[in-house]
Amino acid sequence: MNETSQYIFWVSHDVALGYLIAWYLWLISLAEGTHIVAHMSWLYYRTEDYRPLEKVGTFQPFIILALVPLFLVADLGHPEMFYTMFYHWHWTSPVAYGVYIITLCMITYAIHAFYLFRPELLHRAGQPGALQFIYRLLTFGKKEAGSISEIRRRQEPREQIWAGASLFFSFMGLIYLGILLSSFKGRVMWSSSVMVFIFFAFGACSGAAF
Amino acid sequence: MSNESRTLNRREFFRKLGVQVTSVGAGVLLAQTAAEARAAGTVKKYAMVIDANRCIGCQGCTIACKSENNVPDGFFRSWVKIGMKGTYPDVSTHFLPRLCNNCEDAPCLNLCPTGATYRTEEDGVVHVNRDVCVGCRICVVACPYGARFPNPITHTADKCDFCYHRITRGLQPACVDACTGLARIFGDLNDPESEVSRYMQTHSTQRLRADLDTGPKVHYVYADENLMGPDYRPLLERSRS
Repeated sequence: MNETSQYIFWVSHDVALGYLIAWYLWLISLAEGTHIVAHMSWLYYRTEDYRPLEKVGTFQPFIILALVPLFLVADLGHPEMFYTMFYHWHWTSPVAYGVYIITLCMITYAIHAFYLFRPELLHRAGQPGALQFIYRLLTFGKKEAGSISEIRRRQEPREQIWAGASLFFSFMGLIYLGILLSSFKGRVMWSSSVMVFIFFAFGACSGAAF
Repeated sequence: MSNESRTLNRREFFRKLGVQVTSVGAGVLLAQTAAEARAAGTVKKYAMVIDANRCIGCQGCTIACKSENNVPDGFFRSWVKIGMKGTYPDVSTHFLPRLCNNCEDAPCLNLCPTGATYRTEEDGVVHVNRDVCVGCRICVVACPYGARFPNPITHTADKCDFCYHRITRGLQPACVDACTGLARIFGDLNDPESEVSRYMQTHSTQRLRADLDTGPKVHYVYADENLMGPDYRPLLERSRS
């Protein structure tokens, strides 16, 4: 076994996943980590000082999640067929779950962000000004009486439900990324259950820094 | 409902926990047994035995495969890995014919997000459905044997399927037909009278990366362990540079 050997002819079909996938993995974990850190900080301290952090930590990850899956689509051999991943679902594949997890993550972030900004939008929609039309559009033409804190108190149960859902899907997203890489049996560095924890730590660190 | 009726004593808690754990365990066991029964229930189990001692490294199989399956330039469904071992004057040349192992627990099949990679129930051969494959290349990266490649013409994954169009008509795969030294033996492992079954009964066989537990259906006889092991050449080249 330890004799010197030299390959005369071999075939290497090795392909790298590519920089688009590397960016995808990093940005997705960054977005989810940002949301987890922002929301957990607010949950822990429960002071108004952390509310702007939660807003940023929900809206910016939503923007990232809306754009980054396009990297994955652009990397496909048949980008025009990406939608088939939604209905040709293969239950043993982490990517098949990931398609739904990332989509649900994006939807819950959008709704959660809407509820976070809604009290201010409703308040401003009631005020005279040049941008009133846009505020009304963003609040779907609804009007609510009272101050910002009163509106916020009234919508709190709904806000909490979507905050919980977005937090759940953020954790699921990080678990998905870890399981995705750890399921490559042939890759010595990836094929490990530690990957899930690495992505958790990675997401939390990047998110906190972001 | 009163609070009293909701309380659970320790004995009851452990009893309920035990019932739940047993039910989950039984469910998992049933699912595993069903999967094994399904796998064992395949009518045929196509496999190949390659006697490396008989291989002369002529690459006849490589050429036959390329022309039979229109494999694009620069890619191979089947090839012969050639290596030299030892230091002058004690040098020996070794050949290792390679192809897709059509594994019983194929990592490529498990990771395919669309199910484009599938196994035919009646014979256990792993195929790629080009109409469903989106070309994500996950299967190519997942294959520990480097047997898959992204086809630059179809933009989908491509691999050896034991020349399925031939074997379903009673013919041998093109590489087996072209092998000068009769090193490749193909057949049904479920048939005890087949040549491949008889050859496996009389020879001790090796499999590539057996540590990964993928159940490769390509077996080797007298293959060199150095050529069969994981290929750390790119890593070594990188560390040297």
